Amino acid sequence: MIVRSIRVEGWRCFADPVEVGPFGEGLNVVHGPNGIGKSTLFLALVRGVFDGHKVAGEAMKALRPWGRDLGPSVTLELRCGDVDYRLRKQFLVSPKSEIYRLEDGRYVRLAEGVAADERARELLCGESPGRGASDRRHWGLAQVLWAPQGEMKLEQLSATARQTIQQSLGAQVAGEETTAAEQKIAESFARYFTPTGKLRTGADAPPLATLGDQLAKLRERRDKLKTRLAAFDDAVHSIESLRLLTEQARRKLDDLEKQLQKAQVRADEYQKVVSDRDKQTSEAAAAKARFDELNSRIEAIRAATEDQRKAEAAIVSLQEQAASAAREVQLRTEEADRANAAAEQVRRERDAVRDAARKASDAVRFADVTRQLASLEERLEQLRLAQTELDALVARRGGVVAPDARSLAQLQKAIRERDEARVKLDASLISVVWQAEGDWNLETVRADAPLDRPVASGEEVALRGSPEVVFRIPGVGTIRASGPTGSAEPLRKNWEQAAAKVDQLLAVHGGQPLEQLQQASLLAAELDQQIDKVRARIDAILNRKPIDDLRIEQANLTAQRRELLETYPDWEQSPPNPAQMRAEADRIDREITDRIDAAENARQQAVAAVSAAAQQVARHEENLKNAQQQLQAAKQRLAVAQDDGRTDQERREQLGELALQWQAAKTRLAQLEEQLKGFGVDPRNEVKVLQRQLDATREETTTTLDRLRFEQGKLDAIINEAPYSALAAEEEAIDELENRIEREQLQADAIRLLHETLSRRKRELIESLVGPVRQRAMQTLSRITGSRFERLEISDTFDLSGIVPRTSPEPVSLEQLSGGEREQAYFAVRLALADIAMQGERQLVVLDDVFTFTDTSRLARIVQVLEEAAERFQIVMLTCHPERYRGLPGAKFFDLEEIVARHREPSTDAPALSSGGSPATSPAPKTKRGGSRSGGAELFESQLDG
Amino acid sequence: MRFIHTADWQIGMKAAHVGAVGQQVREQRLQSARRVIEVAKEHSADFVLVAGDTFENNAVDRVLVQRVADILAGFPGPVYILSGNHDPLSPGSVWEHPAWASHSNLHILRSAAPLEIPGGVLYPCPIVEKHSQRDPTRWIDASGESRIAIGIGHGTVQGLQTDDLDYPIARDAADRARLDYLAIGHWHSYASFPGEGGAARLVYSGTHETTKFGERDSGNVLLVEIERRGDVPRITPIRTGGLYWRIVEHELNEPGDLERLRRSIETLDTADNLRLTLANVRLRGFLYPQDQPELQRLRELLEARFFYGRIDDAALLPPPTNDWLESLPVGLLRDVAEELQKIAGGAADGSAASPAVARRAILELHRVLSEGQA
Repeated sequence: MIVRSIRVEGWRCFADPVEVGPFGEGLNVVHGPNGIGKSTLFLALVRGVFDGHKVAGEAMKALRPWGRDLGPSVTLELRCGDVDYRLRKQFLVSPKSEIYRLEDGRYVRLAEGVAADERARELLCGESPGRGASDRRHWGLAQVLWAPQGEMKLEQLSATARQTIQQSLGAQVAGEETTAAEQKIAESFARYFTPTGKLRTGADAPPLATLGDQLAKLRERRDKLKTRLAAFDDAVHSIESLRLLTEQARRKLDDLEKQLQKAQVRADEYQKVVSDRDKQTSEAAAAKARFDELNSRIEAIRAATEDQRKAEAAIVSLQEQAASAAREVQLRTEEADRANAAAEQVRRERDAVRDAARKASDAVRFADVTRQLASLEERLEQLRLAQTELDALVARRGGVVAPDARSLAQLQKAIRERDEARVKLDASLISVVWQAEGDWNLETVRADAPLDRPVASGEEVALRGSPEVVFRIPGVGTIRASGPTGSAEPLRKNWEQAAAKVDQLLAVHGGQPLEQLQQASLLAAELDQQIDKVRARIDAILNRKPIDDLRIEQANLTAQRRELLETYPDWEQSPPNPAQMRAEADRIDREITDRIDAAENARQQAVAAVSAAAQQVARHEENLKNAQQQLQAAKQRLAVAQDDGRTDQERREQLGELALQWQAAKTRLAQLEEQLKGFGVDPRNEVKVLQRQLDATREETTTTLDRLRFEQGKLDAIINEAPYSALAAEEEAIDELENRIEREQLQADAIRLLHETLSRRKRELIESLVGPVRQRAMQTLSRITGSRFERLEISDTFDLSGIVPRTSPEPVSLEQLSGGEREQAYFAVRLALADIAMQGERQLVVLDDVFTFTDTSRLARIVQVLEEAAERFQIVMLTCHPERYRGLPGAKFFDLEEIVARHREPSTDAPALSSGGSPATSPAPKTKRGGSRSGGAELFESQLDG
Repeated sequence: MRFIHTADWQIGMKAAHVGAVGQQVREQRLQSARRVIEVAKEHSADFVLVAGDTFENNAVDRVLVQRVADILAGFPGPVYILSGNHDPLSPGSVWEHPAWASHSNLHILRSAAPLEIPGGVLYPCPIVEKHSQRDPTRWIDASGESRIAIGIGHGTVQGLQTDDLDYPIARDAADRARLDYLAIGHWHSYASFPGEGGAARLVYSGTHETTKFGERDSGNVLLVEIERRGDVPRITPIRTGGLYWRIVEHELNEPGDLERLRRSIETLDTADNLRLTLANVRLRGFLYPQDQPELQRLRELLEARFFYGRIDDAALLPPPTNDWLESLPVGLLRDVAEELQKIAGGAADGSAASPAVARRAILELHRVLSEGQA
């Protein structure tokens, strides 16, 4: 459907009739300033097509011009397909609706009233709003094609619009039956699953949700019962084993008791034999003792007799040996005496050795004394010379009177101070120097050193004084020289004091001048130095000893030497050789010593021989004494051994009898030992072992019985639980529940499969519809924005739900775009929907100032798109900026302000309506003359009636 | 001599795969035990032989032991009870319960030694452990016995096709031991093994109450009559079982087959007998969506009128040609139905869903659309 013209009257700012048109089939730009009525014109178009003529209410009253109670009316000339229509509606005041169709060059009324309202809506597949004014939901295809000001966003399409689009896309997504079935399937799905496909839980959960838990609990109980049943079997097995063990233990006990009994009998027998053996051992021992006793007695008699005989023989021999030993002693004593005398003789020769040694020692001493004495005399001579030199120096030094360094320094200082004071004084004095150029007389009137004398020519005279110097030269005049103020007296006094001091110090030293004093001082210092050196030499010679000590030492050495010379006077002339004399003395000493040693050895040997002989004699006497004692002892033993009152013969006979007794006892003992061997191992040990085994077995049996009782108790407890019966019931319940779960699961899976298959197929179907729209819209958007965006997210209801930027894989909401890009995205989608869904018939696209946020460059691209779209659509742009579209060839511009003004002014230029010609080219009435509505309406109506 | 030979009562056994009615099945076994005693009384039996596995396990509830002892004590004559591999004479066994000693006519056979019985001698072969490769009847030698010699044992007759080799009993055990009759237990079906001269002296009585689907010749006791020593025993099976275990296998080929099956099941037996019947319905073939309600109806029928019923429909396939699917308008629903059909037929490669799930999904879709049309 396209529009040819729009005429409004009594419509907001259009109190008087205003007609806009004829619109071209391409791009039309209706422009004017704000408030001129562009959006009002758009509203008139909407109300005219979609609202019922009887609609009242505030929404319709708001259409009236302010302050006026007019009935808004709108007249639209439309073309749908090849048919021209004229639609006229009046609201609020005498509401009416009429639709005319152009037939044979004249408009013929087609319908009126509600029918006319319906016919009008059908042109764009609109819906009746029911009661009240229409909104976009009722606009049908205009919901896509017409964008009111500020409402570029494509709101949720009405079902009719959607269906229309889908139908025009050639697909039936869902009919009524399909929708109902889909709804039921969705409900079935929702009973089982959440929207995310998980099984529902909670209060709304299907039975399947809880059956799993129930089954798990049953299985848990079953497993526990199985465990108990297994415990039952284990307890049975345990008890069987324990009973076997108990039985085995009992048999083992019986067996052990029998063994023990037999072993005990053997042990008793063994014990008896052992007792007999022990007894027999005692008897054999007693017999042996008796035999040994008698045998010992006999042996003792024999031994005593023998000892007696030996002792007597020994006594005789010892006596003879004693006499021989005595003679030996005598001989040895004589030899010892001789050796002793020889040793004495040799000892007496030792004196010579001593003399020689003494002489050698004296010689050594004589040499030492002589040497020491010579050395000492030399030192004394040196000492004398040094002392002489010292005395001379000291005397010389005594003749030098010089100040010491300190005094000299004081004197120098005093002189320096004097001189400084003088300088200061001279500096403070007035000085006059006169060089005579003739012979004159000088008379000093005032000066420090008056000078009254003739002065020869060329002589220079200097006078000084303070505070002036005055002198007279007779015949010449008196000369007075004065200087700066200030007296020189303090300085003079200082100088005089300093000079006095110097004189005083010089006077101490004889008034000599300083130079002489300095020279004297130097000389004194030099002499002092020499004196110190001589004294040091003297100290070295003395070596810390007083000279008296040296002299005393000298006297001693002299006396010693004299004493030695008294003993050996020839030494004065021929001094001895100490080394030679010492060697001779040593030789003599060695010789004598060897001889003495030999004599001493001989003496000692002789003495030893005497001692040995004496010892031998003593031994003989001791042996003799012992032999006599042994003889005595042997006689006593013999007496004791023979005190039994028997003869030797009797004793021998008795010994034989005792031997027989003893042998018999040994034989019996051997027999008993043989019997014991026959038992082998000691059966008493076997009894102990068997007893221990028996005790252990009894203990094991007791333990086994305890365990048996314990296991029996366990078994009884399990039996009371009746685990098998409980298990049977549980397993039956599990089987039943598993069957039920299987059925429920099958049903749930079937519903899920059905739902998922349906959803998937539907998505595929819709994608086949939405895909082309998305693609076309994306192409348009890319022309406007460039490559900023990757994809538009369009739902199956053709809602623009998001946009995928090129820089992100995830879609973003359009709210995150700028206002301009949002406008552009919605524009692209509207255009795409219009392109794809409404092919074949040119439709009206109305855009009421919708690009408010789009920048200039993108708007230019949009204008290019519109230019192309104008080849397929009739586009009416309502804008404040006509200049944006001026560059488009073929665009028709309608200056609304001018149109309104023209309609207000009286005009003779209004062309008459042509009644013929093609409806497509006949212009619509532009203006009306006059300002009354009714006049224009009559004109209009007259045109309608042809 | 006239006696009742029974065995394998398996009191307390788990009723596998019958779920909710398991306890009732177990209770029925006690009812059947009462019927055994009734039969014994009716036929004036001299004694009753219970040849092992009276109880399913030695760890059953002791109340059951008391109840069984009380039931057996209801017989006016002696009852000789042998232990089996399920209830061996082991520590903690059911045979230690004082209930046995409280009834003087109940004799637990505890040792392998001949025992005087009314009219003859009994040679018991008690079982003392769950597993053994020993022939329990080996010790029997009745060759010198002049009175009627009866043996009682528990084990597997050699030659039977089985993996169970516990307690093997020679096929000629009765003849070798010179017994007139050897009453054995272990197998739940009635079976006899002819010996010398074709006389059946080695016999399984089978269980007194069927224990599972597919168990043949069970739910009986044997009335055994022997005139004198050496005579061929006359053996009469007498039903004592109370429940009927039926397997119904059917193939569905066309729409409506399921309804026809349902009608036939309704008339399977008398209403009273249906209430004592456990039915296992195994379906093969094609399940048409329009037959889905009939399947549900069949389930309800089984649950309402039978002691227990289950339907095994895992083998059902979607029909090869589906008018219903082709009746769907071209569009989303038809696409979905076709895809599910492929999966159900196993033709969809890469699908994670099983054909069974896909079949159910198709049925669900059919239900949803049917409700919408309704």
